[in-house]
Amino acid sequence: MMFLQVVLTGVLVGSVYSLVAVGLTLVWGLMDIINFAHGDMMMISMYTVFWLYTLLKFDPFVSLPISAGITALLGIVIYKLVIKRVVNAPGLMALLATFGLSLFIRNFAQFLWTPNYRFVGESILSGKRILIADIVIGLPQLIAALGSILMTLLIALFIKRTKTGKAIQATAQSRDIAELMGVNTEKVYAVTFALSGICVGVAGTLLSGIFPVYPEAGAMYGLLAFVIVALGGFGNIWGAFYAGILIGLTEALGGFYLGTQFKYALAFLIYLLVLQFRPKGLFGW
Amino acid sequence: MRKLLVVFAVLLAFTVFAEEVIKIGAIFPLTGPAAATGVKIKYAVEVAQEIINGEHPEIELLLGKSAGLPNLNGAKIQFVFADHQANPELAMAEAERLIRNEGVVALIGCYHSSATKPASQVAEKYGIPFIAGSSSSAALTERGLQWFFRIAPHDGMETVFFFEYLKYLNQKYNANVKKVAVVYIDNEYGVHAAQMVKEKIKDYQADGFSIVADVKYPAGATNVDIEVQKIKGAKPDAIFHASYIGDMTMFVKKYKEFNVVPKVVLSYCGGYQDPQFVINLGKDADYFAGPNATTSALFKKMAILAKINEMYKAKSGVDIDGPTLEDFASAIVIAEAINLAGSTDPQKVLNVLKTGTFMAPYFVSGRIKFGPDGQNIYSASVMTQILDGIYEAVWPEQYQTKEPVPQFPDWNKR
Amino acid sequence: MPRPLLEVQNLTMKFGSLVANDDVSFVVNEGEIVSLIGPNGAGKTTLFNCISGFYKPFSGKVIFDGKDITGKSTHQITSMGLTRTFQIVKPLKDMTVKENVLTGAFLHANSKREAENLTDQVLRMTHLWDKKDMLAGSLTIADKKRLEVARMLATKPKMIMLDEAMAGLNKTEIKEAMELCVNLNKNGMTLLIVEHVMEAIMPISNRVVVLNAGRKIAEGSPQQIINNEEVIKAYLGERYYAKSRQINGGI
Repeated sequence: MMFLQVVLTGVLVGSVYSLVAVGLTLVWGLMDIINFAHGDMMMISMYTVFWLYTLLKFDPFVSLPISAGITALLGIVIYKLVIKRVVNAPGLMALLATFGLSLFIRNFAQFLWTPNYRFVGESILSGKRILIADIVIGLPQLIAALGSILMTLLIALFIKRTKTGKAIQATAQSRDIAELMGVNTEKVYAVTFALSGICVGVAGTLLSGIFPVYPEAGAMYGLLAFVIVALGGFGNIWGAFYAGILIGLTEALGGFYLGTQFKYALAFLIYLLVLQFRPKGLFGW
Repeated sequence: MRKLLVVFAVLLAFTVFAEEVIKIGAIFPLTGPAAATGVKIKYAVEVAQEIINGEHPEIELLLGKSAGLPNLNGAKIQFVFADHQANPELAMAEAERLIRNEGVVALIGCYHSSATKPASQVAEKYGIPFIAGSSSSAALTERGLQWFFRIAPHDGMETVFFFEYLKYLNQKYNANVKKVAVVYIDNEYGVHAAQMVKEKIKDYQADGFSIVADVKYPAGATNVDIEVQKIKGAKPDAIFHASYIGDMTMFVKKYKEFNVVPKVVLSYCGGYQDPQFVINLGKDADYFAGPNATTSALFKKMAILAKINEMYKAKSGVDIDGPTLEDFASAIVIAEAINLAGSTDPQKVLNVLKTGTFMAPYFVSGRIKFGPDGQNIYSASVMTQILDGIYEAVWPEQYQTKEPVPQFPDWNKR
Repeated sequence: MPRPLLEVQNLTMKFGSLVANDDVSFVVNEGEIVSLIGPNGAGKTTLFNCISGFYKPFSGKVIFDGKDITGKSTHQITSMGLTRTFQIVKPLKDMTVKENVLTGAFLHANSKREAENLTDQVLRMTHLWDKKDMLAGSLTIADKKRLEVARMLATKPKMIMLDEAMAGLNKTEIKEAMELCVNLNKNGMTLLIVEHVMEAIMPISNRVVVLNAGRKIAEGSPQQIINNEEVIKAYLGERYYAKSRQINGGI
């Protein structure tokens, strides 16, 4: 019974990791840009939800479109102001640029809102849970997981089926060719960053109420997202999804049976091992 | 040229006829991430300065009665503030500056143990006394320094405090608390606290206490589900927490979700004592307990505390809290030590600090005395429990503002 | 009355102090096949890049269909009807042949159905219909080149620029390529072709422009160009030219 509970925790937690990773892999796969500020965009969406809740009493679900919209916009702004300048620069430049951006966003958040830990107190889901035999399923966690899975599906469908999605696919394979096909690759880049923002915007909103809101809130999620993207293969949406679940399970099972202090160390260990034997990730790219 | 001479003469006159002012450095985080806390401490130290320098016979402190330090002809104390911005390097630099440029005869500070450490090292180098009020890291008094003193209890003392409280609950209320779980964050604060539990419990094994779970979790963890599942499996009677506000809040929510109902939860200085705790959790914060140097519930029981709070609240707008009171104490004690020494000579002041007992009627313990390692041997804390959203003092009995609730009710019965 | 479709006016392209194109001017009229030749390093591909929006020229103008396209982005130029192939084929490897072409078809199509119809048309014209569901990365070189052309055609261009499209093809494949060019031209397409395979392009070109070391050194009918002294010198070098004159009893 305990085992099932632990596995369930791993899957629920991992699903949200997946969504965050999907946002990162889109950008990484398309532009070869490692966005260190990815987790911090999620933090911004959490603050958005928090302030809408505190000042206007909006339930997080009501805030979802707003916070996702704000992070989408943030993604576009980041693209136009920072990323655009380093897209064709040597790899290190992009790393430094987004790293600096991450520091800036965190410090700015701390300056505006203090480093205090906030929580979204009461949402329609808070405190509720489902009991099946001995297994506890917290409703906020369940909805967060389901929401994340749904969002991943929507993104995958968007990329595969829509005209813009095909334009993104083409640009990912060759920017020059895509341009020759009449694809405005500049717009494609901006749209992809917006999508990346929507991913973390939704993830952040789903997490509010379960996770504290503070300037460093995106740190661990961002870090795990890198591991998950590398595991799943750069640019591979379903790869990121499965890898996210895998990391969630590693964290849960490893934490429970080996020691909670090793939770993340194990996730990183798995990452290192996989890279040794399959450098392109579990699912290639 | 003539004008210059006149100015010079006037300045000389001022220095010759000015009242003697004794400068004491006060290094705190006045800007930066902990500014909110640092500024409140500054207010408390300013209140101490007012009590010392002014005539406040209504406040029954040694130095309240007359203006200035009586043994030094009414010399006034001036606390010279410096800002370390939560940066240890800056704390060190400010300590140097205060000693060399400002000529301070003693130092107090710094709230953050990480800043207190290097600043007190500087004091040691120059041979001037350093009193830390609220910095709680046990390591500070383990350095073998001669000039360092600390008022707040460290986690070893807190741990003993926890066990004594559990014994009290067992004796008075038949609480039957035996199995202890230690849950702590993976950093120096948490790890050291857990170490203390494992060390001190040996003295309490006869009373039937044992550790049934040791749950260490990483800082910045995205969830505490697994931790709580492990705790639940161990079925502890008491949980000792060394956690900050973010993780503590997550734990409480998870305890509720997984229906973990221990009898007692005691928290080291961290999340529980943070005012956000009650704000974040509302009714779910009730029945959690932990030590605090003071609580607003005590104002009606301790007159002098209430008066000090009045002066403090006038500046800060909020009631005084534990750590702030500890730093207030450091300001009072250093001034009293100088007064008792009858001089600012560092060696003389040092002797007073090492041998004297200082009255501290604003603390539940009533006094302050420093052991050979500089640690205040009297724990300044009182055990508090949140009842109806208020930190009530529940132990020792003579300071109770409410009786403790020795057993958590079921979550749905709150 | 020939109408200029592409006008290159005094185009200069520099990389630092290296001048790759030096004050190049020429015109391609509607319905023409114009060949652009010259030794390696003459600046032909650079010129293509400047015209098609991959580089922004240092100075000069490019006018297409009466509109100034100098410095515009590639996708804009494509949508105006001017497109090109690359020397090294670049199929979108992870997509099928059909998907590759579809990407281009979406540019002007108003619906998915229209795009698909156009794609099918183009695939048939370039003999890729049977291979439409194969992954583009697994095609032969010749087929990959056909795919380049097919993708281009899907964007409904008025003029196409081919950059050494015949490199690496065997005699039969070259013949097919020539036929394709001629057929496209008969149906109204204007072509600008860069090539080294002279036997392939001389017979089908209306005019030839010759570049050497960044400058245009000659322009005229294929016949004129073959006998042009400057052109021969450029390809064979001064000494050989002098020698050949001697041997032919020149000076």
